[in-house]
Amino acid sequence: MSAPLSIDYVKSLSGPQWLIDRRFAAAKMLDDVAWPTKKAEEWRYSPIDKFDLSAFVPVASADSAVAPALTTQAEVNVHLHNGALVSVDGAVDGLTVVRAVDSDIDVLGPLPADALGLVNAALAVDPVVFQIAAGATVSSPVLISLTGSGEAQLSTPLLVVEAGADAQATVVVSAESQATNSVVIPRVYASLANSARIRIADLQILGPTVTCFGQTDVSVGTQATFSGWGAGIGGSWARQRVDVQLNGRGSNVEYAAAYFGTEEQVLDYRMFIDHVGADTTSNLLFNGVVDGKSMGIYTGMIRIAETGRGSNANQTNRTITLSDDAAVESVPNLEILNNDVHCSHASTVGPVDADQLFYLETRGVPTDQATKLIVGGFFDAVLDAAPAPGLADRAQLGIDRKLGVA
Amino acid sequence: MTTLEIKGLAATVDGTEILKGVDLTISSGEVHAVMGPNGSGKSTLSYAIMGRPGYEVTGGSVLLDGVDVLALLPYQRAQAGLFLAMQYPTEVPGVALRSVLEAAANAGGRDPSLVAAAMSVEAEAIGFGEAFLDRPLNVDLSGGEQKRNETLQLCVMEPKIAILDELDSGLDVDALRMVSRRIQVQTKEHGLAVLAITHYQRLFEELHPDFVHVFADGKIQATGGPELAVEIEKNGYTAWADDRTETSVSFGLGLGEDPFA
Repeated sequence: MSAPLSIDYVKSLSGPQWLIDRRFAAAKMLDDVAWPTKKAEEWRYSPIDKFDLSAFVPVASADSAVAPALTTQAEVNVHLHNGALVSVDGAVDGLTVVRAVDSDIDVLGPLPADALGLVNAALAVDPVVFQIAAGATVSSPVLISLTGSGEAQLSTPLLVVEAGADAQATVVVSAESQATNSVVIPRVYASLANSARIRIADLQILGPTVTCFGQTDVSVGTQATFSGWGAGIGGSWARQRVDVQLNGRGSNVEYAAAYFGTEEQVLDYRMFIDHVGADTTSNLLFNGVVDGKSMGIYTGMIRIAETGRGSNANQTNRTITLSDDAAVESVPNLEILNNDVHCSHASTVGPVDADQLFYLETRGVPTDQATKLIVGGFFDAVLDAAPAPGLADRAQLGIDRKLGVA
Repeated sequence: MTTLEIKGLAATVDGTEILKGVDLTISSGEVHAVMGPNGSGKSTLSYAIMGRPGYEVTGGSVLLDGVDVLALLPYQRAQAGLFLAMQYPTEVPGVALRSVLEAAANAGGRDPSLVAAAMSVEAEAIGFGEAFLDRPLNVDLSGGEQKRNETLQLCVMEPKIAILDELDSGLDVDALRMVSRRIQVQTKEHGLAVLAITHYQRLFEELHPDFVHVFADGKIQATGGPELAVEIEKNGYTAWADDRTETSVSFGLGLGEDPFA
C-alpha cells in the first residue's frame, strides 16, 4: 500500500484557510508515517498486502447523489455523497450541525497519527461536526447517510460528534456507498464530556465491490457512557476499527455488532478499549456468521492501565461458520496492568449448534430451514440492541437476503 | 391405524453398545410406558428412533407403517409422524416457537396460518401463559415451562407417535396433571400412540398406560399391564437390573470410570 495523494489535489480543495492548512499538514505527515502491512499486529489477519490505495482516485463531489437507502423517523437527516455534503435537513433542540468549510475556527482538532486517518484528513472535502449542548437530550436519532457512486474512486467522509456534559443523543451512520471497485475511508471522532450518554450506530450496507476502512475514535469522560452498535452486511473488504479511551472515572462502553459474510467478503473488526480511568467498564459482543469463501476477523484488545483499578471488561466474539471454505480469525486479547480488575473474554467458532439443529429437525423443520432460523436467531441479541427505529429492520433485511429468505 | 414396529434395535454411542436389541410395537391409541433405572439407555432409545447425530444404529429395524424410519433424516421422521418430547429441550436463542411450528407446518404440507390459533388453544389447555409463546425457544424457561412447551408443540403438531422422554421431570403436580390429561385426550380423540419413558409412576395417574415395559441393560426385560408400574414403584428395578448395570452403562455414556468404584 502506498500514498495515493497528489499534493496539488489536496491544495485544490476549498474551505477556510485553517482547513486548507490542516489538509496540507496531513498530506505532508503522510511522508513520515508507516503504511499498514501484515507485519503490524492490527493488520496481520487482513488482506492489506494485496491492497493498493494508489489505484483509486479521490472524489469530492456531491453531484449525482443518490437517495439514501436507510430511512428512519429521524428529525435530523444529514446526507454526504462521495464524502461531500448534500444536505442537512431538519433541526432539533440541543444539536448544532457545523459544516467545517463554513467555520472560521478549527472545529476538527488535532490530526490523527495513523496513515489512513491522515488520508482521510488530507482529502476530507466536507467535514461535519455535530455539537450536542451540555445537558441536552436529543430525543430523535440523527441520521447520517454516506452514499457513493462512481468507479475506482476514493472518498473520505469525516464526522465529529462532541457531546457536552450530561448530553444524550443517538447518531446513526449508514455507510451505503454503491460505487464500483471503490474505497471509502470514513472517520468518526466522538468526545463525551462528563456523564454524557451517546449512542452511535454503524450500519454497513455497502455495495459488493466497495472496500471500507472505517474507524471510530471515542474518548469517554467521567461517568459517561458510549454505546456502540454495528451491523456489517455489505462491502468486499469492510474493516471497522473502534478505539475507545475510557478516560474518566466510572466511564463505560458497550458495543454490540452483528456481521454476515458471504461469497468472498472480508468483514474485519478491530476493537481497542483502553481503560485509563478507575472503575471503568467495557462490554463487547460480536456475533458473526461466515458463509461461502468469506472471512470474518475479530481482534479485540482490552487494555487496563495501571490507573484503571476496579475496572470491569468483558468481550465475546461468537462466529458461526456455514461453509468449510469460510475462514475465521477471532483474537480477543487482554493487557492488564492493574490487578484489581475483572476481565473476561470468550470466543467461539464453529458450525451451527448440532443440538439446536436436531431440536428443530425433530419438530419437522428441514435442515436448511432450521439452519436459517438458528442463524437468524443468533443475530437477535445484537439486533434487539439497535439504538434507533428502522435500524434492526434494515440489518435484518440484509441478513434475510443473504439467507435467501427475503 | 398407525404402527411403529421396533425390532432388535441395537445402537452405540461413541463406540459403546447402549441398545442391545430392543423389540417394541406401538399402535394408534396405545400408551406404552418404558420404565427403567438411570443410565439404562432409555433416552438412547428415543434418540436412536429420532436419528440424533452421534447415536449409531448398528442393528435392527424401525418401521412406521412399513416405512423404514432409519433411512429418513430426523426432520423426515418428524414429518412422517414421529414426535420426540425431549428430557432437556434445547435452548434456541432468538428463534420463536411460532416461527418453528409455522416452518414445520409449511414443510409438512400443512397450513401455517392455522398454527398461531392452535398454539393459543393448546397453551390455554395446559396452563401455559401466552407470554411464553413469543419467547425464544426454551430460553430462560423453567424445567416445568419447558415441558409444557414440549407438550404444546406435540398437540399443535398432532403426530401419530409421541415419544415422551421424562416428560414428568420438572413438572409440579398440577402441571403434570394438566399435561398428562391433555396427552390422554390426544390418544382418545386422535389415536395418538405414546411411548412414555420415565422413572416414576406419577406420570400415569392421568395418562393411563396400556403396557408397561421394564427397560434395563439396553433392552426390554419384562412387559406387563399397569400393575407392573405399581410393582416397580414399590420394589424398584432390582429384579431386572443389579447395581453393576448402571455403572457399566455410565461408561458407555462417556462419563468415565468411577474412581471410587
